[in-house]
Amino acid sequence: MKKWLALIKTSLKVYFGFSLWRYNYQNDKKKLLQPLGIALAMIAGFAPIIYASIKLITAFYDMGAAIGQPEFILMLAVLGSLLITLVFGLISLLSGFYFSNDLSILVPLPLTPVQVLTSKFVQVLATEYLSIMFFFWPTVIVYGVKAQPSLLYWLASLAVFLLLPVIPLLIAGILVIPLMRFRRASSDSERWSAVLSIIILVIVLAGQFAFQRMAMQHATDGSLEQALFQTSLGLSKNISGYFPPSLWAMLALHKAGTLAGCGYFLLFALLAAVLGVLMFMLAKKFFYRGLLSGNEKRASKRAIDEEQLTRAAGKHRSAMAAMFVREWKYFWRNSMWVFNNMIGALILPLIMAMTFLMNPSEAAIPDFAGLLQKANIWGIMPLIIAGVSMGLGGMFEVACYAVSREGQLFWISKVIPVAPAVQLRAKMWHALVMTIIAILPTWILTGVILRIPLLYFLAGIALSILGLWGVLASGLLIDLIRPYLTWDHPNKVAKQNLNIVFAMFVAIWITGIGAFLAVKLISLKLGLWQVYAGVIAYLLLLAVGLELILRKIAARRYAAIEV
Amino acid sequence: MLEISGLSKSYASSKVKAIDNLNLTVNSGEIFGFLGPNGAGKTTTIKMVVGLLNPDSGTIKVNGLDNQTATLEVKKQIGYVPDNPDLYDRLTGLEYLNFIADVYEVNERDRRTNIARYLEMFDLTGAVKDVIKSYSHGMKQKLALTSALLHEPNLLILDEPMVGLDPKSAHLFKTVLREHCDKGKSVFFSTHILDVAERLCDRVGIISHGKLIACGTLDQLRKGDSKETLEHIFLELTES
Repeated sequence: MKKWLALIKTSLKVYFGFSLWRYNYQNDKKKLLQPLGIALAMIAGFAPIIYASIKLITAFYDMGAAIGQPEFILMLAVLGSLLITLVFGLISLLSGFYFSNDLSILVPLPLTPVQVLTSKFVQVLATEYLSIMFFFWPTVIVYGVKAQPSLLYWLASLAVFLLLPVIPLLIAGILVIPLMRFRRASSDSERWSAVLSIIILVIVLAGQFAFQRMAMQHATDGSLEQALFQTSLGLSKNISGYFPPSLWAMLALHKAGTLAGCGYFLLFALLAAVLGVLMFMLAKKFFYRGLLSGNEKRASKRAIDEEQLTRAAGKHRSAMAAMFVREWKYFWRNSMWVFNNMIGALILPLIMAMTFLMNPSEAAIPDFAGLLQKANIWGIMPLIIAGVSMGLGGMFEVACYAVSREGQLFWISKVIPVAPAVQLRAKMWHALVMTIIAILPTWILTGVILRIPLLYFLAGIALSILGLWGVLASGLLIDLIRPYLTWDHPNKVAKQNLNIVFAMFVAIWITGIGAFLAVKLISLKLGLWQVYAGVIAYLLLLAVGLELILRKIAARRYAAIEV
Repeated sequence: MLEISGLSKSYASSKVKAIDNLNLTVNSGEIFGFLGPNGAGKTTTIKMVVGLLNPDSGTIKVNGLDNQTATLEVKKQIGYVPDNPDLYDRLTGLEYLNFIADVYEVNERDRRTNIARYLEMFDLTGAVKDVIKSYSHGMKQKLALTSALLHEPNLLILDEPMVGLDPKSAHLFKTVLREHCDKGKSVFFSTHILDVAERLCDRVGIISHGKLIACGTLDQLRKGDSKETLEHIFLELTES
């Protein structure tokens, strides 16, 4: 047990760099001011967003209270946290279990597979707490303040919070461990993991939709409306259809301080325990086999003849094209980055598609196209498309980790005779192309579902691309100012880097200002062309301004980054 | 070819100077060995020459061009192999070489000739279509040297190039370095292997605690005592 705890402690120290923090504190106290400054900047920067979120949650609470079901916001928080953990924890779990650099140190030590796996599980779990805390706690606090439950509610909230990410991670582990056993040493194990993650996600989401479909069918046997709004906990029961045990967690909060509440919590904890035992049994049997088969190196030793060499080595590209190709190849060959970047983009169209594919009755799908037709808002549709695309663009990591992704290899970018401004321009184009690829499914599905006329649809995409340039350039600028190059695993580029948070924040502001400008111009009763001219001028100014800033500081920043 | 004057560097977390007023010249057509104990400042010096670190003071000139002002022109004249050849491990060897050839603007004829020549010489032809991830340390080292030689740089800078190389590869390395200098170009490399330095270098510099404590041909360092080995000279100088 002592060995086990020491392993977990060391694993957390290594992953979060606690020892490095202490070293910095002892040797260079100024370095500690940086995270403090970042924290303050984040609080100040996100204050309006946190305020708006709390207002929104409060409005949901009031809506729920009006039908006697205010607790449904707890259901949303619980289910949302479970889903976030499942989607984003899955790749972290795979990465932690099978691709951590320290595994080559741990495996030869006298530790059991279960001990090694536990240390990795705790490490992933700790990062997932950070991911869901911003989703879970605001709702729990709003409910606690408005509903005035007993003091035990707060204790129950903490207990539920600690247990929440455990269950989806255990489910992911149970699916991952046996499947990773079958990866072949000859295949690209990272690519295999990314494909596996997508398969697992589709299976789990399909399962959830199937649960939900059963619940809906049950409800429609009687009256859906009555089931939702007039039955006690109707809304929550309906929402929990996606993952029934989530209802136990919600009830543990809602009935905190009662015997029933305690019982529901124990039920939820029991589920975690059962899943835990199952995962560790699987780990004992399969973990090391899967891990070791992936460690074998692959080398085809395909000899190249003179003709092939002449053909392959004969193409000459400009430095800019060479830099773009480097970015492109290097990104696509890192399955972790592709998965992390694409999953956020694919999850929305995936859910949209599944809703349409699995919904039992067409009548249950609202006629959005008809509603839009009636409202006659096609004229501003390109603006809406651009706004949504810019907001989504801020969530992608391609630009805001463009420099960080180079990690220890940044030395190559520093020694090659290519001006940093050219290197950054290649990164910008790469980020734009990648973001367009990521948003494309959402664009297409939205266009099809809403039946947007082609002209408006294309105008929306053109405006989106202009807006995305500014959003992505701001992300790149953030990364250029504070790159994270000392990562030792590709997954850490995103997981231990706050640049995405800053980039999202800036994207929200850029989009918000654009939306405000558009609304203001429309309210002035200007013609549609004038509104578009104003918005295009704003987006152009932003794109050109940021491009000039990037160009101006590129060389200075590259020189300042010492590797 | 390379002129270092009054070069100094301290790291932020330390008050000790990693490099203290270093002055050094490497002539055209010469192999210069840069020797010193661990932590003496060899890698720091090399990193400043190739532009990976910024000096606190002093100048570094390559062919009369200052590496702080004529940055890109200087980079074009240098070929660099780091101590730990971390390369783009998800690219194939050939993709990496093509990338380097593109950014150094190597014309198609030279590119083909040099890639073919060095791949064959270093026995990498069979591995060049594999991703670098699958290479051994020595193979990466050889690929890094090939990439550094592609544009036939005036100044080749190598940080501990012999570490991890098998005897055959080490021999090839030495041959390549000598051929490079025979064309009137220069090589500046750091090493711990005094035997290599003794046999290969035209001149050596010994650095200790960030200061250049000796510099010259082996005969000059021996001060007339022909039996004195470089190992003795090194130990005497660095331990005193």
